[in-house]
Amino acid sequence: MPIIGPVAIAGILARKKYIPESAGTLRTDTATFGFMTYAVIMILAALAFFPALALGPLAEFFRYIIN
Amino acid sequence: MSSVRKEVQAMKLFDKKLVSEALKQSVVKLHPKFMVKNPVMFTVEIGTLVMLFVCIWILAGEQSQGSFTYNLIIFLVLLLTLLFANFAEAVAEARGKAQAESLRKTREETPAKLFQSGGIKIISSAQLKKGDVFVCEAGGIIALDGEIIEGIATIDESAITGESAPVIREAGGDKSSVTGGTKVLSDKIKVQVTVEPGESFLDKMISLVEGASRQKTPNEIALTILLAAFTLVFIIVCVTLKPFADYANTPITIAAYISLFVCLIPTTIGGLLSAIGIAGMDRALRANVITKSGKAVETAGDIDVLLLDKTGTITIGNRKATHFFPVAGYDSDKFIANCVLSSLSDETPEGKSIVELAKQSGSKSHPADTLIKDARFIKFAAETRTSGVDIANVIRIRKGAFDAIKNISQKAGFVFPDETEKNVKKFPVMEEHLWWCLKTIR
Repeated sequence: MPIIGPVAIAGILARKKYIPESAGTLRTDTATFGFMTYAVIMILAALAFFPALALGPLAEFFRYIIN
Repeated sequence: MSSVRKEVQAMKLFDKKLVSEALKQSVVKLHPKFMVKNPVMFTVEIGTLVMLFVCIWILAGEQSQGSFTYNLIIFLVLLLTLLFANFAEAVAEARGKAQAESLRKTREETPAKLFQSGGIKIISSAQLKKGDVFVCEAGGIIALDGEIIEGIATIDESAITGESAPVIREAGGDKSSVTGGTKVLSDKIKVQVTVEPGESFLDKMISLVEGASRQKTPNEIALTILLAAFTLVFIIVCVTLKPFADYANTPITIAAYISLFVCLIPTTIGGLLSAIGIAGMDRALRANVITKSGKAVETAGDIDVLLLDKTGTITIGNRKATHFFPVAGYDSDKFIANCVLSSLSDETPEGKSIVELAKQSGSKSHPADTLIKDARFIKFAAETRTSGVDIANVIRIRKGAFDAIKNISQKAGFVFPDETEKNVKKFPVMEEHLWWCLKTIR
């Protein structure tokens, strides 16, 4: 099931026209872009998993410390 | 157009009328029919409604959901978020409309000289009706579309058709119609209005601006999909939290769920996305560019080269000399004098404008002062792209396109100065249009 998404994206990309590089092109080989991508992945993952973690393992850990 | 521009710039960000209209719109836009177009804000709206029900539930006697004040505050904060997002969009929309309005106003303020049996009366062009006769003299703007019934005039129609050369319009025949907004350059004409108010050519153009429907740009669509995906992920996060909480014996109130959810989803981008799009159109309009959609603004950002055949509308249509750039060490006055000498026989706008510019710059050694014997003028030709003068077969002065001159001077055995090339490169787009003077002495 999860493979459907990436395959669909690949299908869309394959149909895209080739546009020559210009001043308006987003450069993907810079440190800024790398950092941004990394930050987005980290923040999204943290936001997605923290609420659940806070209720389970993290809550237990703090209870352990307090006791 | 300049008067329109001034008016647009003078318009404040928060005009009183504009704000009251936007406030009204921000409430109207709470209707799910409008909200569903923006999935992120739509889920926030659902959350707001849920909070409203929770508040009512508590009032009815429910104990497990926390205090009423706490729930009410969360409801109000959510409602304010929604209203603010709508308000931003409404302000942006209202500004666009206000600009079309100001365009119309400028048009209506054009004075018209109404021709009556008792004489000529000046009224605003908005008051003209079909069948009225008005008079237009040299330098005046034609108030409304119509037909010439008396007289003949040259008219500058560049604002409408793009034709830079003035056209002749006269009473009778098939060349008798004139368009509102064009300028009479000479003579005096009597025009009978042939359209009803609000149906003229300019009115149609203005309604084009007003009726511009907001198409979503490809980037906007992509962003909306991305934000919707985020929203979906965070819905799952919040829903799965419920079993976790139940298992850990820590019940979470509905208010807490919803506030966590709203904090997680990208409300700011989602709420302001459409406002950003409209703001782009607004900025283009301030630069006197009318964009029909946000999509057009985005396309405009990707443009590298613009080809126009309507030079009359955009520019005066003629190339013009604006600067003399002598090579370092060469006397500026002498250089200008040579430029003029070589341009005297050039009948093109370039040649004329060089002579004009030299006159304006007040060059001391004007060629008219120096006596020229045995001068043979060489006319400008499209093949050679140069013009010039041979004086007594000793001095040859040439001017022309950069590469043509470079060619000539190198063939004659001279070193072409790098500085000149550098100067030309300074104006990359204009390269072909810059004209350079070169003096060769044998």
